[in-house]
Amino acid sequence: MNESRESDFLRQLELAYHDLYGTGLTIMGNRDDADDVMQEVCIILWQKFDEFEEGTNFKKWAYTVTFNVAKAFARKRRRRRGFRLNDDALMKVAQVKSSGSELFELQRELLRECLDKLPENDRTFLSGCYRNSASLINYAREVRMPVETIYTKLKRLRRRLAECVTRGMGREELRSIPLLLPAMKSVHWQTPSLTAVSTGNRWSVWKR
Amino acid sequence: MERLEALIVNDIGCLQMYVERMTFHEELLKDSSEKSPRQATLGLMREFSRSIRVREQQSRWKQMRLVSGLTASLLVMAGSVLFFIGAFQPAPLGVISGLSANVQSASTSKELGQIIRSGDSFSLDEGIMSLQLPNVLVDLIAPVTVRFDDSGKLSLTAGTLVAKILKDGENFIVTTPDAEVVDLGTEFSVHYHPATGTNVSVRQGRVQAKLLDWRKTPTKMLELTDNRSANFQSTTGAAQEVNFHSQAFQPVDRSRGGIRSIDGTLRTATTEPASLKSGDSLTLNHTLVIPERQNVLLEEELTVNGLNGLVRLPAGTVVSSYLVHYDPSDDIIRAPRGAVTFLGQVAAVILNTSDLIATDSLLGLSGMEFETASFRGLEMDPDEDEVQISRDRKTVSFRFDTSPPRYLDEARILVISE
Repeated sequence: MNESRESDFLRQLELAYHDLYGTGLTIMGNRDDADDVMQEVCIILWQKFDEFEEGTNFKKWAYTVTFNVAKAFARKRRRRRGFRLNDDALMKVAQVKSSGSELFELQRELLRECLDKLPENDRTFLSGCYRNSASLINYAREVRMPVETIYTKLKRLRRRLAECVTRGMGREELRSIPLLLPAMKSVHWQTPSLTAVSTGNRWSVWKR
Repeated sequence: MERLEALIVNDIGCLQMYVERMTFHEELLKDSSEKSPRQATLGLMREFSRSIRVREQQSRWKQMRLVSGLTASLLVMAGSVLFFIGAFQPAPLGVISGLSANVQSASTSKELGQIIRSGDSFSLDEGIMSLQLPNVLVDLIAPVTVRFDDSGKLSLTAGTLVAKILKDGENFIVTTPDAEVVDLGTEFSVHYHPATGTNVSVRQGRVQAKLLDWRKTPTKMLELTDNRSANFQSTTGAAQEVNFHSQAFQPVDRSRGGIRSIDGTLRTATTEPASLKSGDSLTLNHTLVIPERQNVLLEEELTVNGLNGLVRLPAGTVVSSYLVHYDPSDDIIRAPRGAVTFLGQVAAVILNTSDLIATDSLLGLSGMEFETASFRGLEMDPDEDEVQISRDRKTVSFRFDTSPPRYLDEARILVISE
């Protein structure tokens, strides 16, 4: 693979990476396993990039690879440790993730807005916790706080953010929108702040 | 964990909440770190690709030093050989235009579009291979061995072939150890086995078949017309008409129907799958095109959603139906791309699930089970499935989307019968 092809690959990977990582995380349920999945995904994508047809959708191609790699990882983990979601559950998760992509993007956008509203010290604390999510004990030592206090504060901040996102979504009405409606077409759903339209089994949601 | 699985599978609210929670954590992770997992992995990738490049360069340099002396002399020799091969390359006779999904051959390469030249041999252990020659379609039905001799005649040394002469084609010649069969504009089959000799069956048109002696000199001649068969045996000197054998045509009708050629990842099927429900007939690295009911007389108007809107086929139209079926396993990493060309003109391509279901009983093969879930049809959004009909309306090309978790995609092509 020549250098321009390589830089093309890295550019496309960078654009798609966030969503791919999200898929890995959703299927594996934790950051360590998602990291392992993504390393494997990157290597496979790199090895198969010659087979990728230019002009087609890199993100969709990479998403398919990620889903399959993550599913295989989940199966292995399930055999070895006796937990992780089974295939049926993973299929459902992938369906919701795919059909509700616009909705989740909106939630992410609202979360970013809510994060910006947090006081600076809370934002720093939250970043520290997630940066050290592999070991909150180490983080507790670093900031010289009891671990229990870290957990309590983290839980409180997460709840505050979730409530902020919920308010932004006009959640009371929107929570009843089912994302899987196989036979239904062109359903319009409006809340004071949102419009949701389904085409086939896919929902598009935007702020009014 | 079992409880969580049960909630995710059975309660859509819980399922949605799970995905939302994970999206929430994903965003917080992204926000949290200067060196995010993304940056870390991209760094790893850059390191990985650099290592590969260095290794490739080292390997190339080492090989170059080792073989440089030998290469020069080999190049001179290879150049001479290539010059002579190129100079005396026989003219193309045709191409491989169709393969069934189960084609097996220990000795013959089997690529769609591969050019056939005089002297080429084809030996199949399983499946059906179609050859497109000028104005002639030849189907080789395994187990079979054929060879194109230096004059372009097709020599059948074992097994069965079916030839269909297209418009303006005639005098296509097939030879066996017993007989020479000259086509005079028709559709016929030839079967050869050393124990039973050569059987020639004519479904339509006219064929001249000659018994050959041990010197390959014609000694007797029969002219066969519609629905007639004859047997030739050089050992006994027999050349006689026998009951018509229609069986030889059945595998070709089932596998190819009125398809002229296929391209890309398309393959035909030699047996009818019992079920085409999701997961029941997986298409590993290929896409199936299955001839369904042929020459169906529409007793009332048929209205379907086609590629460019509603298509109305008036009562009295005679159509043949073909189902394109794509249902790969999880290992798929490439979007399937291909095209199918018919002898007749395409009347409509049915894409949506409701129209597929509505036409299953009229046009689908009886006894076959079809998927009824909404994901069966094609999604024609940008970046998803693509289908096109050529300007002469004889070729349908497509690319199917490969988004998990449900990969099944089907389309039904209606072709005006010849």
